[in-house]
Amino acid sequence: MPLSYNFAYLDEQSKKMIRRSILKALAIPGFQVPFGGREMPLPYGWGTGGIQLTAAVIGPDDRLKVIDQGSDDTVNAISIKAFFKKTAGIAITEETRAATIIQTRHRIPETPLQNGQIMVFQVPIPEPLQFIEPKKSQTAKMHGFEEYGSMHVKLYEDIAKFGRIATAFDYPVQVHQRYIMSPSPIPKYDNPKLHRSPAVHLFGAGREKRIYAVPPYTDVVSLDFEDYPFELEKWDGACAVCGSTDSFLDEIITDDTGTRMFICSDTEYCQKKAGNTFS
Amino acid sequence: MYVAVKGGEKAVKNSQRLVAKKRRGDLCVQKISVDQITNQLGLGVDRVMAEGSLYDVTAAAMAIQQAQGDMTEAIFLVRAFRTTLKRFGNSIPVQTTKMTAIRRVSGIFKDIPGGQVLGPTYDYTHRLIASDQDHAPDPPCEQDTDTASAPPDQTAAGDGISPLPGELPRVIDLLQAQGLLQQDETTSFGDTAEDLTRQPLAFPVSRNLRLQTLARGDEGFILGTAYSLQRGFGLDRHPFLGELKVGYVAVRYTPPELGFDIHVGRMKLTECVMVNRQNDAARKAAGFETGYGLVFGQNERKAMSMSLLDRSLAGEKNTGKNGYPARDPEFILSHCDNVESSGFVQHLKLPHYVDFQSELVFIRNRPKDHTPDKGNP
Amino acid sequence: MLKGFDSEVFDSQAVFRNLLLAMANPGTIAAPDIHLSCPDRLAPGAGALLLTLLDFETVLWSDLDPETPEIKWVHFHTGTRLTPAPDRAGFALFTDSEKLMDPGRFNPGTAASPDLSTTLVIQTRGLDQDQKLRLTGPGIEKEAFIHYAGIPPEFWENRAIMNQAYPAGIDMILVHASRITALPRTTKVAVC
Repeated sequence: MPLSYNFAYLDEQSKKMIRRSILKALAIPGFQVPFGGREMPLPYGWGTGGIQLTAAVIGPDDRLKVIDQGSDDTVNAISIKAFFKKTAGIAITEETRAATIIQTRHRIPETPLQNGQIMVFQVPIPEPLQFIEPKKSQTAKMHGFEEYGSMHVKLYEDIAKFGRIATAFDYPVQVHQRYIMSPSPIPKYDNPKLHRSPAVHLFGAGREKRIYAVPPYTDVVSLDFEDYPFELEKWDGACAVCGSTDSFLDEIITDDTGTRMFICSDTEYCQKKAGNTFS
Repeated sequence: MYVAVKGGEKAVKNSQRLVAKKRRGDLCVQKISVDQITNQLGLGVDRVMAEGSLYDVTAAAMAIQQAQGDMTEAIFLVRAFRTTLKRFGNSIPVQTTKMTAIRRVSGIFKDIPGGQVLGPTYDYTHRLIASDQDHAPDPPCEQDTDTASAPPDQTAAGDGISPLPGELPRVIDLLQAQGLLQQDETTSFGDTAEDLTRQPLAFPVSRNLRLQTLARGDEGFILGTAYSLQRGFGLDRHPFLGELKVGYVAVRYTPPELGFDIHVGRMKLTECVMVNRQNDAARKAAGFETGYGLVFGQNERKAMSMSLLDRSLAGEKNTGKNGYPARDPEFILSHCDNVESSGFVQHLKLPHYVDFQSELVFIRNRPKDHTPDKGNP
Repeated sequence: MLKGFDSEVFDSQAVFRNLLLAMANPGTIAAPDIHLSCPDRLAPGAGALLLTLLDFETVLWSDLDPETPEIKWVHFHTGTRLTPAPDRAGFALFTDSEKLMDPGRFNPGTAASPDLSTTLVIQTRGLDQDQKLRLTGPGIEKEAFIHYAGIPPEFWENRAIMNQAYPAGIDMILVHASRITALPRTTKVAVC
């Protein structure tokens, strides 16, 4: 039994395979590249796709930030950071601006990203058409021949039933005027951050064995209709800690009578903003 | 002033400490050794090797101990270990006709060339939980080098059971010789560059990848779906057991630098061939078709279920359109890996409060929705 | 046999990171720190990226014969398979840009599997940010300019025709000495 692990856990053969997939993914924005995903020491469904991407990309000089639900301190983000500390010994940071690689589950940081930074998204279900057509043998053809009619029909049916498009997170987007893509279960609030972003966005689905990517400065457009345009979530009020009115807010129940307060989901953004107010 | 709850790191460390404590249990009770597991829980070890896709008895036993007996967890440990191992190449296909069989039965003929041997099986035991006092005491331990190197379940000379011949013809070859078996039935697999552990499954699936997926798939899922076939959900006739064998095969490998093959080791396998009448009347007259199962270790339930699904999922045009899951390759093969299914089902325990917040915002805004059956003034 | 990387783990990671940013930002020139002794006709940049990306699961075509020291070196260090058929190659190495063929000879992938295409690795005779080619597309904020010495203009025409079948198409990595650039199929190249 090996008592020491290769840098970042994965063997070099696996890293090569993932690296080749990443290059293809960047060349075909939004296309889900099938890759020979490996079992990792964390379970499928808990970020193995993101972990494999980070493991293939990371080097000794990187500064890694890992967030889950926008926070650096949630249990799975902690677990993943511990994994990379143990297997790669790299520097960990909570500061968005200082990070060279940001691995995330379900949020994009509020602080704008810069060219040269790499976002790694953990994706549970890479297929945006999954709940319309669960069979990959069918969706492969739909993507191949740009047959996206069923997606547009689904959105139209939402409008007929609810008066608006009913998707709140994992809201489908079209990339580089071609592929419909799942941006991962980020709230639709975060979708605009992908459009012509200066950073590289890599998406990894370990269990489904798909990697996809959006290069910098690429068009990423949320699906909508001319008369029912894409809308962001809104809250009544501001963050109770830092006063922000333009960040995604979590709802915290503070007592038995259901009193609520709203706090920024992005804890690093919130702390920085609150710190500035008091300095 | 609200202060966000911190301390996720501490919580994780504490939970790791607690699970280690729980695993060890009462310190006054002797710790289970890996040796005890390989020797006395061998069927558990066999299952973990099969679904872990790694023939390593020690690794499987260590995993069972580390997982506190949770087999799915143990399988996961073995798979993750397998990821770290370097791949040298592919072995020469093993010859199951040359298996040193410890067990061999057939359901279709009363007598078969080479004979039938029940061997070590629970099939004819009475399922009565017995205490230690009900058993005869163990004979003394023999530190004999000969028996020490032989696998524990191989019949020793003193058992009074004559072993099976070293070379056993396949029972289905008897059907083949009588021209009763479809000519395009392959009986040899292995000449393939396809490797499920290095490439994702793509549909339609080749027979090689179908068999690989089933071989390492969850025994419960494969058993259940095979069972559904026998009850008519996708099969309309009774299948027959052509042959079931359990025993040891030699593994040989040709290192490129040597240019000739070398003996690498031995592994225990279970092989099963199911036979049933062909469904497709339009095909040329042969009559019978087969399904194949091959698993590490002694895993008969799994090998038999696998062979039933191999047949039910076969056929290029089989898209499962007749509606029953066990006839749908994409349905069965996408969902039989328990490392995948366990991970994804259990991932629901992870925080999803941001996604849920989006849902809350959406639902709360509902009264402002357009409801077509309410007229607006 | 000339040795490969000093440290397979860290050297290949550094080279890959540069390749990733080159492919993500077409028109930028990456200059990874490469310490590699390659056989004569291989540029250090090309040698480094082949060692980084190839293994026993890849298939390589080259304008050099399999018996040449360069191809033997690549095969020894990576275990890559070799093919004489351009359309069966995952990677195609041109050590001499004069020998550059119509990209249509290679595998552009299919509509359902555009990722199965050949990636061309081309050693150019010179590389700088002269305004000879104007690049636009994903990865480029407005436009970028680059100049590759030794590549005939009709190659860019043929490439444009081929990449009209997007998502099928050909991706390219162009090298000079130790410097690396990339042109994914999404980059539009206009001769100035």
